[in-house]
Amino acid sequence: MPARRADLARGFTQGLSFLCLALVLGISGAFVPNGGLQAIERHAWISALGAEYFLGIDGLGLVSILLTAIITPFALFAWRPPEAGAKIYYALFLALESGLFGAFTAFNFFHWFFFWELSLIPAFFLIKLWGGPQRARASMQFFVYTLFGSVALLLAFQVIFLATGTFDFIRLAELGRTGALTRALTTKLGIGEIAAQTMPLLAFLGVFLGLAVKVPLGPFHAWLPPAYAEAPASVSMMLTGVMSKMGVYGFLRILLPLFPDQLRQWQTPLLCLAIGTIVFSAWTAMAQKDLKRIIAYSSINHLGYCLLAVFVVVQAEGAAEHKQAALDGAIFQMFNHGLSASALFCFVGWLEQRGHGLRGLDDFGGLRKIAPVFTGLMGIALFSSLGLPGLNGFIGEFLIFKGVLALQGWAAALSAFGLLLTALFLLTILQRVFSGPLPDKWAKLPDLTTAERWIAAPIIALMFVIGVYPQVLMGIINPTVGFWVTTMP
Amino acid sequence: MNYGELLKLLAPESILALTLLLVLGADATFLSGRAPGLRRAVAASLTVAGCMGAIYWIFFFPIHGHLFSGVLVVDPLTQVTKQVLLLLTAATALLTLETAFTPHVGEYFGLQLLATLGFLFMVSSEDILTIFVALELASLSLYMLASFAKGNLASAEAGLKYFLYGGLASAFLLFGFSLLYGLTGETLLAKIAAKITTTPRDPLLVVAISMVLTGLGFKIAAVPFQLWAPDVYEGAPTPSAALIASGSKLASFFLLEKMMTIGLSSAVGSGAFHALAAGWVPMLAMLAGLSLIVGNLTALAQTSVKRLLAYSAIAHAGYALLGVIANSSQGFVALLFYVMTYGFTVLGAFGVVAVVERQTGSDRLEAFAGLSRRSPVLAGVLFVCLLSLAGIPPLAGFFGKFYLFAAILRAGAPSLGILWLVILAIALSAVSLFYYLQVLKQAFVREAPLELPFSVKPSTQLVLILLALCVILFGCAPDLLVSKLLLALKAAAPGLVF
Amino acid sequence: MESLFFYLFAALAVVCGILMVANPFSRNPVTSAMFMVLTMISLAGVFVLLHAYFLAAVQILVYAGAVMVLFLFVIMLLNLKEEEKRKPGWVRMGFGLVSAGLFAALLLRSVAAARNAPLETAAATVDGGVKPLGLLLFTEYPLPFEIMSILLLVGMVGVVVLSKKELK
Repeated sequence: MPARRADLARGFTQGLSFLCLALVLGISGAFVPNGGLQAIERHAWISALGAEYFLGIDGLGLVSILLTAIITPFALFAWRPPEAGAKIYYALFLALESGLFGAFTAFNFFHWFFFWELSLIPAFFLIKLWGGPQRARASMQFFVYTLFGSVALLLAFQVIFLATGTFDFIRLAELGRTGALTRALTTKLGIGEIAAQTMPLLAFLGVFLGLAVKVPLGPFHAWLPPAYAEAPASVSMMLTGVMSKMGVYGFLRILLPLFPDQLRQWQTPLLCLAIGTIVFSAWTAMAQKDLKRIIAYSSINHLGYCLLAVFVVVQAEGAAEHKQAALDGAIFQMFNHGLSASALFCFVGWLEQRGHGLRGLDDFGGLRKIAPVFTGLMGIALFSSLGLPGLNGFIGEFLIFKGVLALQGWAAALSAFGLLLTALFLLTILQRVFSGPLPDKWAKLPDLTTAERWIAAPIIALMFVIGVYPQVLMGIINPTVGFWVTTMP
Repeated sequence: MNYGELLKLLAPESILALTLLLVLGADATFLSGRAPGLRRAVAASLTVAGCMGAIYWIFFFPIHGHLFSGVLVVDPLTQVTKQVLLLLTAATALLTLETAFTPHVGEYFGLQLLATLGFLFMVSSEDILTIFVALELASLSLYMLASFAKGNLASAEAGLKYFLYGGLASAFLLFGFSLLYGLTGETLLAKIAAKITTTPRDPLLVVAISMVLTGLGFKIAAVPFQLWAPDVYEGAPTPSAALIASGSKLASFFLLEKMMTIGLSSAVGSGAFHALAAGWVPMLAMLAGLSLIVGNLTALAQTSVKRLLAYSAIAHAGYALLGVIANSSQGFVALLFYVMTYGFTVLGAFGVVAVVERQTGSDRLEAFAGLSRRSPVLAGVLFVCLLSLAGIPPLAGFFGKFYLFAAILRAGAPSLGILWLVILAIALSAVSLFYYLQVLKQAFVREAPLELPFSVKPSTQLVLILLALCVILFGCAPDLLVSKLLLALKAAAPGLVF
Repeated sequence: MESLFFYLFAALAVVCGILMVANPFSRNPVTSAMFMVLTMISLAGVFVLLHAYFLAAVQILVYAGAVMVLFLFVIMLLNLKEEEKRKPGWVRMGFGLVSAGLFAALLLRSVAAARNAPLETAAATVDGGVKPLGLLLFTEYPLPFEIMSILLLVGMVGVVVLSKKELK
């Protein structure tokens, strides 16, 4: 009886996730790539707070919800919870997806924050209830860090609201572009005499912290490796594939338009943070033995490139085309990393199932002899992740480096180290797990089942499609980024 | 002066008083000797009918006016608040059906109605004499309600503690009031305020304010006047505790807000970190900060769910105080929204506790193990209520807190000096999630020792589901209530427009 | 002359009040009750000085008379023993002393301030007879008067519930 109900819940949830995918595809079909905001739904919500129900999508939003809609069914198929409590698992999963959709489409801070927080709770429970042996600590760390970030965000936006009287992202972006936001924060508010001058900086720091924790940017990343490592495969896929994108999304949607002056003023330290994140996360990944942890650190590394691009384009000098390239690359990288990292977590999850809970770098070896399909598909995902031309990962990193090299050559040169290290540890995985002598105990390790092949196939195919024909995404992203670049102060 | 006018304005209260006599009379005459279940059902339906009658009266006969220049104030704002109070009492009465701790059925429901009468009078008076009498009416009824389970030592202890602390608090309040009267020679709040402006700031006024705050701080269970709360919440019969936590809180906060913003409007002071100035705001800021810290941190260590709710109530008093400290119309509305939705939420939580306690004989955390399998409805209601208390979207608690923070910062602008209190409140609301999760973890993750399903009365289920729906509804569409409150506040006496 | 009597009655009320709750010589409840009577009577004296004759009479009749008789009746009926001495903890003691001290300082300061500044609001001149009181009650304050009647009902219901023997 419970088994049937769990099946029912799973079928229902998977059906819904496909429905969402179909709807999102419908939206992208109707999307007109002109750089403007579309599919707007706008209603008064809470008049007393200036909170509106304000939905819309532009290129960035569309790419984000596409990613959400693709990864969710993928994650749902990749891992099944035990039958007891499966209902709750699926309910939480759907809640997580709705939180993500909401956060990627909202254009009013209250509305956005509502969903930003909403997505936190299901993620916490998914780790806490279905995670590995250290789940209690991992989920707690995840929660405390992200909540800390949310507090900073909330405070910063309360202050911004006090100064400007609006929560509307578009209106705030307008104010940020003209410098009116900084002026309003300086002249209208203050704690005593001294703090008035630093108010814009404080607000900037609050928003920055909130977003940096989510991405994460070092040194705010301590929650990530345990959370990704302890979460079940499907949840790791959602965390890295979609939730970490919320942070990058926030950088592009909020921080970049609202605080151009502050970003410019702090550009060098911020670049150093991004480079540090890129290099050190790759370095740390080399030292890891746990496959999940390696991929977790590589996630930090990959998202570091996105932030590198964001921090580079804030400068006044430099040609628009380079800025365009860097930002295009950042959004591309968001999407690509979502695909490849979640695919990697999915494969590691399957490997863990086969290896009876083992997932160390040195626990396996020579698997290509007995599991050629597994090796091939995971190899493709690994190569996509390290940016092999012809696969999706290449496009984003190439564009980012093209832009960064032209704008801040030293930053590109330094982060190229990260690129090298990434290639190194990803290839190490390939070498240690799939080639070399096959230990006797794994002689019976089964290859991917037909079902698993079908689950992985669409994602792998997508990697090729985007790698060969990036125009599918570029057509969506480019007009929006073009609009940003031309309106940049 | 016209007694007819008085009767018209007091119609809802009169309906309630008549209901009370009916409940007492019915139970003493033709129901005496019948089965307790029947008596409870009749008394509860009479109580609910009376409350609904009063609500309908307020709804369909919106009469407003001031009698005796403020001894009785009936304006849109008091009427909305009264309707919510009546709803809370009706829900409490229905939840009482789940319990069977006393043979004195009529008296129990009667005292609930009497306490509600006290709440209604507290809400609609702006005269310190009437305020005191109304407060005593409510308090005395609540003391009785707390000690009603005579077979239970804990209940007796709860009643006695509540009574002793409450008596002391009343004494302080009365002393404060008499000092206010001595300083100004007036009993009406507005006139007191006018007199205080003309006299130079007097240390005696500080004494008076701190005494009044002591008395009212006891009612809202703010630290350091909270000592009674844990024992009373734990020992008192669950419906009594629910009424103390919901209706009494709402009425007391309404009273506190009026007392401060009307009566002491010229002794506000400042709670800003860099510029503390004497007045009631810094005192309340202190109470709020202490309540937030003590309530949230102590709740972490609790193993009894009722005690946990008590400490969480102390913490929530701290949040709600932010609305009073804001000293603005936005702050007033934020406060009312917060306390009203808090009332619904905490009633839901107590309703679940009542059922669990009746079926397992305990309110320890372990008693909630496996609740999601033993009664999905109860578990769902508990889930919604506790997450709302923790301030998670899309529930009412999230918006309530958001609005409070916005209101207090906005009222302080352009100076952000009160930011320290807001930061404290937000940080501690993050802490609060942990103890609510403790309960939810038991309910959803732990296996029950025996998986017998709980039997829950349909009426209880209905009330609990309605309460949970309210919490969700006001979380998703808070404007339903907020815009109503704002309009009511605007339409209310000009004395209330800051 | 009036102020002399005021200080006399006030001091008497305070001293008897203290002796009622913290009598160093006797811990007998009956002694406490008797000191309470004395407090009530001193308060009645203060009422007389305020020309509130009716209140003074009521104070003596109701409190010093009826209520106290009931108190004594109950005390003797229950056969209460001498109260045990409790040892308060140092922390609690210190806390109490500090807050009481702060409060006392505040009060003293306000008294000192009041001595310098002339009293701005003159004491209300009342005619404390029955008639003006009744007029006031039925013209300006009928509402609290009515609430009091409900309050008495609470008292009645409460007494009935608390004192009734549970028949099981």
